Amino acid sequence: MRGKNTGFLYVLPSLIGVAFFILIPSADVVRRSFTEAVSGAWAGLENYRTVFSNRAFRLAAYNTLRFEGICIPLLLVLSLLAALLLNALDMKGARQFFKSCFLVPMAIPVASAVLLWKVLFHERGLMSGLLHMLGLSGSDWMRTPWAFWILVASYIWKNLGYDVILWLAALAGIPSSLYEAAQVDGAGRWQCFWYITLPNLLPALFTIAVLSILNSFKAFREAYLAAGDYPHESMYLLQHLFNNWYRDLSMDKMAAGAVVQAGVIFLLILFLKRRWEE
Amino acid sequence: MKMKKIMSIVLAAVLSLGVLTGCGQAGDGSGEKDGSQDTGGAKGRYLEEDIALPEKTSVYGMTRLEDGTLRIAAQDQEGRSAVWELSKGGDTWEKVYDLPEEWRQTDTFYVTHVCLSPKGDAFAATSQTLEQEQQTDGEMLEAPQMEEHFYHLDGEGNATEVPIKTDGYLYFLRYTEDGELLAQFQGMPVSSVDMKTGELTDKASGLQDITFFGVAKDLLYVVDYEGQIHSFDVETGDPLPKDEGLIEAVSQSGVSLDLHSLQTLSMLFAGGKEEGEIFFCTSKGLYRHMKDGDVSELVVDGSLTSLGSPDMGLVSLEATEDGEFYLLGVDSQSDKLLHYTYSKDTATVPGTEVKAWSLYENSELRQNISQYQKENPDVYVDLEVAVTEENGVTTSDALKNLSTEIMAGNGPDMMLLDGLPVESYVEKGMLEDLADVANGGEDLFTNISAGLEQDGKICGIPLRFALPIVEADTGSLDKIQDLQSLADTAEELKGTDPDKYIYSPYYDGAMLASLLYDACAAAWVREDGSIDSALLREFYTQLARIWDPEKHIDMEVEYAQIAESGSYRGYVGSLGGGVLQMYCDKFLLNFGALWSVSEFSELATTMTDKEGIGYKPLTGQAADVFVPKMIAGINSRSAAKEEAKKFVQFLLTEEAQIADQAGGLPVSEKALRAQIGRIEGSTIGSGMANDPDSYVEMTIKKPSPEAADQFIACIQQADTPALTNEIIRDAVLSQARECLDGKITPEAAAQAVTDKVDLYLAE
Repeated sequence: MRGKNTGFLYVLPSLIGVAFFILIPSADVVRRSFTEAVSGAWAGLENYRTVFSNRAFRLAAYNTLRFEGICIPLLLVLSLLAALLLNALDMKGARQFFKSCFLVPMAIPVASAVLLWKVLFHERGLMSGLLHMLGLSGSDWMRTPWAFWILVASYIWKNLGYDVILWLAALAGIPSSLYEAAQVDGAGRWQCFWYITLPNLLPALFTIAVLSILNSFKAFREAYLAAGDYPHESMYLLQHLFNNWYRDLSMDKMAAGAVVQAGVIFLLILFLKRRWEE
Repeated sequence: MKMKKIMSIVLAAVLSLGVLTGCGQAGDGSGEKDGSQDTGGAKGRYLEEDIALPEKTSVYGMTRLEDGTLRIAAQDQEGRSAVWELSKGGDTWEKVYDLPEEWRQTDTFYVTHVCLSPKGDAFAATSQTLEQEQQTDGEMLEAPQMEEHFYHLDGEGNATEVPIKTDGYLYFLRYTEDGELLAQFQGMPVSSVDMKTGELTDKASGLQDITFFGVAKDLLYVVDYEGQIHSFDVETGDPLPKDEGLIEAVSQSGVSLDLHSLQTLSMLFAGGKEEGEIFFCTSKGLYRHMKDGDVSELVVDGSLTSLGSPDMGLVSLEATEDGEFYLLGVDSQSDKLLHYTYSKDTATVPGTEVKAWSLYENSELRQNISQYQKENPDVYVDLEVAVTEENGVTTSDALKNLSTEIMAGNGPDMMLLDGLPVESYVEKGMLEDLADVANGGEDLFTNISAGLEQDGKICGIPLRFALPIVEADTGSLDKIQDLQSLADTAEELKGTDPDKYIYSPYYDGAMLASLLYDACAAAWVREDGSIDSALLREFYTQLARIWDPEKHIDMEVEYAQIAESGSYRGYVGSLGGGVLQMYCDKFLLNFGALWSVSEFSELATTMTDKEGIGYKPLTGQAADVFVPKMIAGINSRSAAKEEAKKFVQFLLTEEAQIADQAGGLPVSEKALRAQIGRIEGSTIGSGMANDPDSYVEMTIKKPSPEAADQFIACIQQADTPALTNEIIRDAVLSQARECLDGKITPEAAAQAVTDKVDLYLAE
């Protein structure tokens, strides 16, 4: 009993911090999702009804889910492949060099990355210029359905290195004795990967997937800086909507939308956790 | 161990309470929200009062004689100049002497400078325009030549010519305390003038790149082209070490010393009673500084007086031994003599605060705030401008910052709603109903002031407005009844004369669309708030008919670039420059929004001088449209609602409405008539430096009462507010450019706008 209370007191300062900066504000968001924006009068489920009947919310939710559905598996697979290739490199110096190369995008400030987008994808940018040279017509790519794929590519480019490092760490944790034993038993490369590497990476997959999902919400920064409040419909994400609701003082709708979004993410993480635990 | 446990609990409790206490402190800050501040009972502040100048005069300069008498030199409406003295009581002016009758102003002769000495004598300069045939010299018009003469006037006004020989024109004059005249001629250093020989003696070590100079007792301050202040000994002309404290104080106040005109200065100097005591005055206020001291003390706060008004220009400053100040200034209406006296019973900081907020800088509002504070010394109107050239904040970020302040309970009391999501604010009950204020004034155009009524409430009052107008020959004008007939007429006129235009050839598609946007956009929004795509398609279709690509001259300046400049975006779409082009037969048709009385004066002059040209309100896809501007709203959560309401009521008075900084026409009829009455004959011209043939000019005439009545009748029938939503405006105009460049069809342009705007409206 004594030990239990003492432990609680040790975590209390940090708990207070978390309570003030996360738990209480989150509870306030939940409360606000049931009240009117300015007057604070009780609104029941009205805000949720408004949000679900809102075309902008449905579009943003669809785009966000589509973005997550394409980006996360793609990133996990590509980063795993890159990590395996790096891991297979015999030269330690080359491995370090390529690891650094993969991490460079993370060191590039968002504003610079956005500038790069504009240079590449503007109507008179490099991409259009290249197409002109090939006798094709260019376009303001950020104002076409290609905008979504530019966002996907940007997310992959930016986060690949981070996931590669995580995968490499997980790969380093697999005992080499397992591979040696398998090779003695006559297992090939593919069999080693399928029966040793992959099962041993599964615990790391959960962490990397959750981190990738959380990082994916940061893609909004590039999208916002490059295309503003109202980008092409294909890359109009939930953050755009929340951003605009906040601007228009629609705190009620924003709170309800945020609760729905947080609920979905929470359920998704629970689901992933359950699956991995199984 | 028990002791440890108790200690842990106590520490945890203290930590928790500490956090809570922090929250409590933050809450206390909202105490200001009741509109009153605790000034700690501190009393004492300089108050400003106007001293009436001799009736209908414009003042050349001011001085204080050695016996303390205030003297001015002024010219009356008949062009006669005289020197006047303020009576000891400070309420009447007595003429000391007239300047020579032969100096009476004519079209070619006028008195340019009269500088008064504290010793009682004076110096004057006259200018005579030499007869010269105006001719073009290469690409530029040659300016007419002037001949200047300089005179010394004794205490009785007897003039003796001073034979100054110089090639440059006279710029500035100042007398020193000892009666020595310092002058600056074009391209020359500050020089002392010998009244007998006319000889000029350098007083500033040859420093020539001078913007202006000032004298404070034995110190001469010279400001160079870069805004640097140089100090000199006024007697010897020797340079003195830079007064770093003074330079720092000016730099910190944010005043640009390189901005000035020939009549007004950005900084004035005056000597104080004590040794080394200097007073200097800028738009930020009047400061006391000790020579070479590190700090400057703000004596009169510019934000609480007329000094902070954007239309106040500074001319001359005098400090008395009693600690009072006289400031000669000029605003857009007249010359001003302001007297600053210390009131020990007035609160140091005004007890009532009204927080005002505007997305962009607004000169009229600033001017009105100065007026209001002057009349209500107990009220401080704190204006926050969200998007400025300095802070680089985007409109979207500014609105989000405002949302944060509002939700935190620190929102402004009064707002200019231009550029704000008004519909959303109204829907959430953020804005106070101002129906009583909007309908309150006797002389208001209530069709406009109460024109934003929605569901029986008026949450925003346009303090200013613009009127879409079309100007054409009377035959064409009769045909123009809507957008389609306008396009028909434009098509008809396009081919009639290859050298004439139907709008500026420098306009791109977006700019052309902006000329018609206001007269059309009000019709596009359906009752359910969605956009009528068919009407939008029609807009682009008719726009394409008006567009004249053959005459287009690419300026490489796009609408988006102008739109980014924030406060200037409103002027895109103005009737403005086209009026002059119509007057000079360069345009066959002119349309857009009329923003100011000066534009109206050009229009009225055209009607007077050019037979067969007329104008009428422009009916596009909507009829009887006005463009609301400076829309005032009050935060319904404000605790200073009453004070804010009084301020808005003041903004609707004739006194406030008469301010004219080209930000829109006033909603007060009296103010509008007064502004029209103030129009004086002047000549305006415009042209491109590389195209002498493009130069055109017009001599403005005062509009007749009939012309004013006709214009006011047009205003009185305007009862449909134009769509002011900037997101819709930007979407429509940017697609117009694409459409008129032939990249997309009118259908595709309309669809693109509908998609984007529907998303915005759906939010």
